[in-house]
Amino acid sequence: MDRNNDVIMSSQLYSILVTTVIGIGILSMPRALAENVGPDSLIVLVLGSVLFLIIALLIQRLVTKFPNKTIIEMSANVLFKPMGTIIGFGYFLHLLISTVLVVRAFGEITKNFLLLNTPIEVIIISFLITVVYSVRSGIESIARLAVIILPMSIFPALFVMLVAIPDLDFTYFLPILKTPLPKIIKTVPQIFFSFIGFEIILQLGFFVKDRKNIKKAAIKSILFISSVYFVFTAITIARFGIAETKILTWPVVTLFKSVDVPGTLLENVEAVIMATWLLSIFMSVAVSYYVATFLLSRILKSKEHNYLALFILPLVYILSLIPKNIVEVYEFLDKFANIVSITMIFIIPIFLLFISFLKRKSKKGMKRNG
Amino acid sequence: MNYYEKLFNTQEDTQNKINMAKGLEENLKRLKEMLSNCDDIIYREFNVGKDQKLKFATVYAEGLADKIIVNEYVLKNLMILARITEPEVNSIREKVYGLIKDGVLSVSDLKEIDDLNEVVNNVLSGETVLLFDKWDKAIVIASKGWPMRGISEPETDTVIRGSREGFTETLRVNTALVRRRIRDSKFKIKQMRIGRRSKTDVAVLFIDGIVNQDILKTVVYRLKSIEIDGILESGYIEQLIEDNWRSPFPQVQSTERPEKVAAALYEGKVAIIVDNTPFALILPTTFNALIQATEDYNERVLITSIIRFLRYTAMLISVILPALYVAMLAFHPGMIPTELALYIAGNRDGVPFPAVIEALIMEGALELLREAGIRLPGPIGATIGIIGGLVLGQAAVDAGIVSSLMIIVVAITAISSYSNPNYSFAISFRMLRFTYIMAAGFLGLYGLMLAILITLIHLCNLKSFGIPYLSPFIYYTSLKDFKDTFIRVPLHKMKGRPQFIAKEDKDRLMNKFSRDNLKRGEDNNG
Repeated sequence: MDRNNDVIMSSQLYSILVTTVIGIGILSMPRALAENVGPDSLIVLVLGSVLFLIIALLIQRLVTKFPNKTIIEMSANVLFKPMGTIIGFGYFLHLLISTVLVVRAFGEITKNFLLLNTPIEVIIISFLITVVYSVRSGIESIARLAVIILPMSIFPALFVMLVAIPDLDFTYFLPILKTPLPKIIKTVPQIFFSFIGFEIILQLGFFVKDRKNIKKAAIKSILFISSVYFVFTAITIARFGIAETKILTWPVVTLFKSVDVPGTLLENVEAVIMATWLLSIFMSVAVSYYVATFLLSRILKSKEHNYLALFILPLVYILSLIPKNIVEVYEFLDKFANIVSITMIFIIPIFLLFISFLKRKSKKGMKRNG
Repeated sequence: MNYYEKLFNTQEDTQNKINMAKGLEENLKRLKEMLSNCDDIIYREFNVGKDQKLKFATVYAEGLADKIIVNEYVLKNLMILARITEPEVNSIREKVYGLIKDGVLSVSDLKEIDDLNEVVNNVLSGETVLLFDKWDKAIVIASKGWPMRGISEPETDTVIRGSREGFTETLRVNTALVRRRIRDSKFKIKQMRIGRRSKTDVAVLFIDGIVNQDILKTVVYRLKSIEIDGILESGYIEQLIEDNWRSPFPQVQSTERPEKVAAALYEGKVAIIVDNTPFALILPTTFNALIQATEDYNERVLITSIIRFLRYTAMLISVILPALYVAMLAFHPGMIPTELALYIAGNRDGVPFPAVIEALIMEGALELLREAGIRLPGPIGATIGIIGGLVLGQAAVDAGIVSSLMIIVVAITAISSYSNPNYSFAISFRMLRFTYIMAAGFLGLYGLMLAILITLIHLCNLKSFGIPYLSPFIYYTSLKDFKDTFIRVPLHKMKGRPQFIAKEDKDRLMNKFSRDNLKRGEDNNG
């Protein structure tokens, strides 16, 4: 089958995208929504998802337009040579920082819900070593892992959500559309933050074998992700109400905690769900880590990303321990999401697409004239 | 030379050729030199013809060659019958050797060779070699016939419903057992010799037109590159050609059952049968293939689907149950229902060790018992099981060294691990269990998840002869390949061969067959 160690199928790309995007973001998302737009959370969520779908289609257009090119060559091609390295480095930093933040947030969650007495350093370092092991085994292995992990991580959580259904009160979502419009517009980037990770398609498109299906994979993954987000947010807010959701750090985790699965052997399933959710967070980190090392190896023009993965490990570890507490992590995440991610996901790809479009047009025009 | 002959052709056969001399004395002298101090080689010189002018000699290895064939059909024909018929001397003078070959020896399998090295090889593999005076060729008479074990029921892959035949130690018998299940001219058996000294016969079995050529090429290439003095068991070959020796998981399936080999060949896989061992190798192997038991296809579909599901669950239990128990006791006691938690606490009262140590002790003791049970002869082995399991376990609980709940956990684990149909697969899980327990002891549920993740990453990385080990779970491309995984769909729904292996001739069951047709036939009859 795929003997070459650098080829993935578009169906595997779909799994990678879903497992990468779904991760840490959703755990706090209902809080952010409830804080900002209250009862209109779901409407804003749908709005944000639709907007993001449009962005995703644009990004995807860029990927299919430049076959067998990473973002470095794309931007070098569209703009000029040093720009490729600069933009590539920008993406590297962006991925590195988002990896660091996710790792830290993950460490905090694990410490809070699974291992109360274990130092966070132990949790982070053991997690990172596993990530590096996965990164070193290559993209094909990561792709296969994503396909297996997707059902393993999402379905237990969804199952627990189902159990919570009898206690739901959907009147919390009333009245509809009472939030002022500027607030809604301000909240949409918050939703974009939850889609961070999607920009890896810019790099992973490079590996896909059946390129014509990339579009389908992109659309399918966005639809799946947003429906998972929708279900999670709807059930969390309907269970706790707006006022309570606002004050919970990770409302979704609290939801897992509050659910009593009837007739099971275990009393508190939240530890099990958190353990399976760990798989999803692992994928987010592993993929962005992989893409970061891949970009770095491209910038440095070295063929082996294996050693680079080890080289970055201490950096990620030290950076992840810098924030003093989880509040700082989330403050930084918000700023980061607002400025950097929007640039990386939204502005740069569309700018590149626009320029390449203009270039092609002018070329055509020149041909016609000449 | 056709494709397969080229593929299997080895250069060295023709390299160290020693041409035979014309004189019988000379040839015998050289043979005796080459086989000096081999007292099991029998040389018999005799004269043929009415006037006893033609000098012949037979050479064979005692114990390997069937003496009856040599005596009755070679020596008797040449020495006595040839004299009685008194052929016209003049008419046969020129073609005496041809005549002997075609008209005298009443043996079905003959071949002519002119290489002294080949003579030695043939003698040592049990054939009888007939040497002539004044001729530089020898005739090899197939006379392999050593005492061998009869075909009996395999010990490892036992079934309730299914064939009772198992492979034996003789290659020819084994290939015949498979041939009986695939009477197709496309079913090929290519033989090669591996081992500088042992010169073990190794047969590569495949069905032309179904087999995945990439896999076959890899297999033959790897087999050819083996340079070793002796192959004693197929395990040698397995370890020399497998992809990753560090992996705890077997990447080659070994079986004693001919129908399992036949089924694998029908799926487009390749089988290797090695002389002197009843264990054939099937490759490539996937994770899923190792969970399938022979019987799954012989019994009716509903029950086998349930059993298949049960087996997957048992596999999961056999790996993670003790680790899960340790993690819950040590790190997440809140997960256990209150009443049970109180009971466990009471039960563990006075146990001096933490749960991890307790689990490791008990699992270690269990492995010890298992090993002792295998090494001891049959009836005593069973006794060890009873003494170890019942007496020791009960005594340990009474003494307060381990809690009785831990005994239950360990026992469930052991039973689950026995339900795995493949022995080498089951032992790899036994190995993993210990690392999982330790991971759970250090970092609780989180550690267990990390250990599972590392195993998963490793499994995703693993390939068996170019086929990803976790096929078909790692693709979404088609649901067809999932028909024989967690459940087994009815045979009439399994129309194709596994897509990740078979590249040509993908249909097993022709589209003509459908259940409706069966019913229609019924109507016609009625």
